[in-house]
Amino acid sequence: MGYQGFYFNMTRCIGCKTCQIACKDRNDQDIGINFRLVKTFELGLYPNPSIYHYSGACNHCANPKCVEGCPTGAMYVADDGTVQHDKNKCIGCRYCIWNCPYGAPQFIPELGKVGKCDSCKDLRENGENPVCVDACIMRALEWGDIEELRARHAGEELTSELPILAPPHITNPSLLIKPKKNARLKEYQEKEM
Amino acid sequence: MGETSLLVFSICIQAAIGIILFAFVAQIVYKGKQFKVAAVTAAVLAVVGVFASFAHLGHPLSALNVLGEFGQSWLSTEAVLAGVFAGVAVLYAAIHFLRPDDHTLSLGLSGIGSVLGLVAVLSMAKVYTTTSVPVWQGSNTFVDFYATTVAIGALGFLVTSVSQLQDVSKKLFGYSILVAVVIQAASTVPHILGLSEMGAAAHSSIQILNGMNTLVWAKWLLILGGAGIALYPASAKVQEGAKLNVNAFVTAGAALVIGQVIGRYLFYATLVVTNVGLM
Repeated sequence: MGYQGFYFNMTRCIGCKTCQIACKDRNDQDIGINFRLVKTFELGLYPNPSIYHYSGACNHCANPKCVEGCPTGAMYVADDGTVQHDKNKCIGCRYCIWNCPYGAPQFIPELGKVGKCDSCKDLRENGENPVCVDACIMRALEWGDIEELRARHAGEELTSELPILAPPHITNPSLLIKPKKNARLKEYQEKEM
Repeated sequence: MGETSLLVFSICIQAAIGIILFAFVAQIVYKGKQFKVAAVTAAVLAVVGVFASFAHLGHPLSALNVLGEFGQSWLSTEAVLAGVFAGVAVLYAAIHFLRPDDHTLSLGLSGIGSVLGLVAVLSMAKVYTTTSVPVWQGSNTFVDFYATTVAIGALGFLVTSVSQLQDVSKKLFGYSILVAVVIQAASTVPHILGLSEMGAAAHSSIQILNGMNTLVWAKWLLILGGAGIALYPASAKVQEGAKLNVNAFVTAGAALVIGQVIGRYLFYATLVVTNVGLM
């Protein structure tokens, strides 16, 4: 089975959060619930300060800890290799939140259940992109078969291992990041925007 | 902190398992004795624990969905084992009223309850050590859960079975409590030292712990103090007609339980997941 995931070109991202807002709008999310979230990190001191942005969502991992831990089978790997969530089976135990090293599952109090990025499955079934991909004004996000994405961006420096992220060996995320050079540095600070 | 129901669940179930474990041991060591109050206490604790776990769920009425993943997910395994254990604990208490002279059945049920309970504690610890929360990972969680089971279980059994234990040695219980809490304290040191070498989430947990220094000291003072207080009357020579110092056991039990509850509060309060965080 092939895996599908996101390609994120960090060198293009300007931190405008359009992807985040598009996702929030599509999923009609309340304050504090985000299936995609843009975070900003700053490094260095004057005269050499720098900044980078990271747009994160579910990475539809090849070894998803949320699926492994889910006590009801509500989290599952779908036929297309993406990680999906069955609301009918979910009991709202929040164990997936403790398990996911990317913070993807979100507890939705009004439902008493968890929700997460489904990579806009219904849009994709109609041949469209996830809404965050099409919303990005910098074309920094792409979606597709992870090996096809890798081939399309051959020659670029691609990684899923950055100091701000959990080590990829834990879940083998379907995520390709083209990082900015400063994103490799460990002395970062998250900046409230 | 939003994990109060889990605190109640884990402490109550572990206490109930410990009490049934020591009731089983006592039934073997002191043949012919029955421990009705201990059995009822364990049953009540187990039932309270199971109901507390429902309170944690966003959809408690769908709780039976966990049956399908038994053996696949540690949380499902824990939930099923805790539920079955609670059933055995209630049955064990009930036979003290329905068939008070059937010692074989009583021994069988406390034995089954002990084995089920000890496996349930293992699964409870696995639920936490397999998450992406560094402060819960490693052997310390196993040690902490089993030590709580043994220490509260032994002391809970002593307090609830005082009248049946007037004329017998209680050293086994006193030393079990002491050994359990000493191992619990000793395992904390390498755990905390190891955390400082882990990532940002572990560092955040250490910072939370540092901000709760008073509670950390209170926890160890109460746990070690409670074990010490219990050891004195438990290791005293058995003299015919001598009155047992019940107050010492009750005081020790209260100190130990409060200490373990504080410890479990700290366990949940230091919850920081390894992630860049969408929250």
